[in-house]
Amino acid sequence: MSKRCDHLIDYMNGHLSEEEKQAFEVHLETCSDCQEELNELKELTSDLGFLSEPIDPPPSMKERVLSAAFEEKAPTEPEKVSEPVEFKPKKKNRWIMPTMAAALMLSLVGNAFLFTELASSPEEGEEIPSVSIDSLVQQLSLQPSAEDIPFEARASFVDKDQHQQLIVEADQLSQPADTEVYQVWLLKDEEPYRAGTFTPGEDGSGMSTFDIDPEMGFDTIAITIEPDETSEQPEGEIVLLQEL
Amino acid sequence: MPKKDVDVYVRLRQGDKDALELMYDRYGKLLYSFSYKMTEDQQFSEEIVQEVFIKIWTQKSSYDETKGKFSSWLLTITRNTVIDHLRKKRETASEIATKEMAEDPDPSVEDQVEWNEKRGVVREAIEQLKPEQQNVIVLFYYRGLSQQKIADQCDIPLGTVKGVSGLP
Repeated sequence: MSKRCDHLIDYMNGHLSEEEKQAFEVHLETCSDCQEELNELKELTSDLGFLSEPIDPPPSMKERVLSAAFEEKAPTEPEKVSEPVEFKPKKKNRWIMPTMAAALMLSLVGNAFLFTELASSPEEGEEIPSVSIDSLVQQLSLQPSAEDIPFEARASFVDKDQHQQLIVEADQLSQPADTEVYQVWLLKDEEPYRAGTFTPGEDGSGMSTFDIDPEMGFDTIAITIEPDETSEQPEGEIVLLQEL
Repeated sequence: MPKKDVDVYVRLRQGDKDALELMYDRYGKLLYSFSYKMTEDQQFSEEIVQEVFIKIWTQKSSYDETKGKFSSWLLTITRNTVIDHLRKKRETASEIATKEMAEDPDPSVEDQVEWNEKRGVVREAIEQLKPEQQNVIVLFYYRGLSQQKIADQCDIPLGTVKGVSGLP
């Protein structure tokens, strides 16, 4: 923790001078404490806007807002432009998120617990119960098998104490029909092994974790849509496929 | 309904005006209400919403899956826009009286289901906090005050602000 870390809140709330802001951003590049805190704060507060009491905007506002927008240049399909660092997690830390997601349970009930816990025990240097140290072995983004498939996925292999864990995160998934599920497969010499099953949440994102044996030496990862969660062999459409 | 957000967004990105309109129908009120909660000024709130919609239409702010849930992303953009404006008229910001977390208003208001549900959950969560913690959240998140001002208004030592706001 350096003195700079104290600027985190003022950075988030835009209270730093241009100079201080730049200095903080430089600091943020290298300070994992601040990166984590920023992400954590963002997670914790991301739903607070929903607490707003409903107020009806003036009926004519819609017209004003839309025509103001339409006066601007219409969007074009953008190349991926990286935006200035706001509060988004740094790419290289993406793999932290599944762990953190679990910790925060991504729910406000969890958040409230954290708020309360952290607030009632703000002392520093508290003993953390023994933890196993996970280390990221490999991370890759998975390419859709066809161009018209919009979604994206990432796979991370994490070394745990006794085994390895495969974490697959996917976004912009279309909702599968009825009993259909997304099935992750690991392949070795074209022999598929089940490696996690999931269905997307309302927002089209999904995640699965699966314990694997690193000795197996898998060479390919794939995601298919299966008729249900019992498929022992891939039967459905392959949506993502990637060599390891 | 929200599961289609991404689809609508994809259309919007391709310049489909109907998609932006749909987005307004879906989120205009939420963003307006949120802006109002932060600024307590209707005119100001409309300007904020307008700016947010310009940002998403022109792709000045563009969404992708690394940014989390779409609705949360919209709220973040909105908050950042407010914070930006507040910075520009800093002097008035501190004069806005701190309000208590408001009572639940007329429950018959037709909101989006998601918003309603979320509000219930968030409220429940917030209510578990001590009043002074709630106050810190109001000052930090909705008012966007500086650490020093939060400490002053809450009469707590500066160093504690981070702790109370949920940071270790």
